[in-house]
Amino acid sequence: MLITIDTEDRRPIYRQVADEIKELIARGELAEGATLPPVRQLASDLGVNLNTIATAYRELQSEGLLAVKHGSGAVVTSRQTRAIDQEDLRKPLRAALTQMALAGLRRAEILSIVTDELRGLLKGAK
Amino acid sequence: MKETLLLIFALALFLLRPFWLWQFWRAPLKQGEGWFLGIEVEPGFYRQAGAALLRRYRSWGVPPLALEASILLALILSGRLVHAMYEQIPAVAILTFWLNFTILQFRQRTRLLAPAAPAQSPHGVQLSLAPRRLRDHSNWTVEAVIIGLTLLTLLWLAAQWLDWLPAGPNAGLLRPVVFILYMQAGVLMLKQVFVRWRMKLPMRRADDYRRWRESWLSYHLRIFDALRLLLAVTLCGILAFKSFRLWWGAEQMNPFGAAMALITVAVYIFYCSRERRRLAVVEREIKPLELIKEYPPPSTTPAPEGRFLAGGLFYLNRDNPVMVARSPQGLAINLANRGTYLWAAYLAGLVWLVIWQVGN
Repeated sequence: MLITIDTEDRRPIYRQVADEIKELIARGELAEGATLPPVRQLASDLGVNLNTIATAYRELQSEGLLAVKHGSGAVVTSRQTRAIDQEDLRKPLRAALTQMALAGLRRAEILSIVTDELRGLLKGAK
Repeated sequence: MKETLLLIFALALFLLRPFWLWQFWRAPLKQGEGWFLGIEVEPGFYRQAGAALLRRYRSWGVPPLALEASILLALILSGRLVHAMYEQIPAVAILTFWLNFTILQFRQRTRLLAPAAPAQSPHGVQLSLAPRRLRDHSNWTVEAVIIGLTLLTLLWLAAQWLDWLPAGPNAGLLRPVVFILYMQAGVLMLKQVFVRWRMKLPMRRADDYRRWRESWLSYHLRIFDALRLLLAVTLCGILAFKSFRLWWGAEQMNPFGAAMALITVAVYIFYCSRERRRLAVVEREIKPLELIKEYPPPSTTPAPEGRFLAGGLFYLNRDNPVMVARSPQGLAINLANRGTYLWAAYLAGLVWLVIWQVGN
């Protein structure tokens, strides 16, 4: 149940935190009802600003994944985000596939990467 | 016999002081000239910035150690052996805190003195989100024994006060009972600090780090549990000893009590050294000092927000839940944290309880 923060990642830290938590939820490592550390605690542990973690938690809350309890942390409320349009889901996938195609990967290689990632992601999920 | 035993015990305590001093004095250079308190330093460090840092490190730690050693020696020479024994309890607690804080403080200062981060230095960390609860790190058999012994002692004490036992009330027991229960609470608080301490993991060698961290945590928690068990046994043992002495007489009970105390302490020391050896095996294999290189240098991460006071020794930020925060100079104690006051009150209470004991 680890989250990774990389200072050289182009994504802002709040996005990295939110994405990492989403991944843990998707993998089933964070089940419904699992608690996450309070905002202040996580900010201090990671050595980042309070608002960075608050923004990440707010985003997860708005997607229906977390319920933030003031002072006592956050609880995973669901393992499914609120309904998102299929086209919206396709956009980041398309962007990632475009990057791979532009990097010169062949169809089989792209498929292998996607399958590996999907297998890793759904390994712990029910 | 009691006087001789006390004298031997007080002298043994005093002789530990030069050893502590020596350990503290040589700690920065323990791994050689290329290191300062386990942090790798540049060649020639001890001829440049390191010389002043070493002087300051020693000036922080040696005077309190020397002062406490002088007080202990004065108590022994003036024949106040009981005072010398009781003086140990707050002295060990306060010195342990201060010396460890000094070591951590100067480790951090050394890291801040490190040259600019090379391009290849690590730039990410991992953090476990697993809850760190005391109940997940409790051995329920040990807890049941501690609770059982404590309840038995309290019931026994209550029965004595209510004059239900043939020996009648034993008025001199209240102080040691309160004192041991207070110590028991202190060790439990310390255990909680260790359990809740969430450490970052490096991105590389994370499994090695996790293995070392688990062994390190397990070692400390076992030692704390053993100490709590020792305190519970001592509590029950004192009551049993005093009660049976009233029934069977001092001549029979004194040698038996001394033998039982020595055996208990010997078992505790044996257990601690066995656990230490187990940790040493893991440390030899993993070399935790090498793991420091797997973290981004502190110069690449900004100091936490908040007000720093007294040259970065204290810190004020209610939004930061830590008791000890990184400061631009090293480490700072967060004065806006409730835990800081709780621990300060605990140490003050410990000193007061020792004075209360000695007044007995």
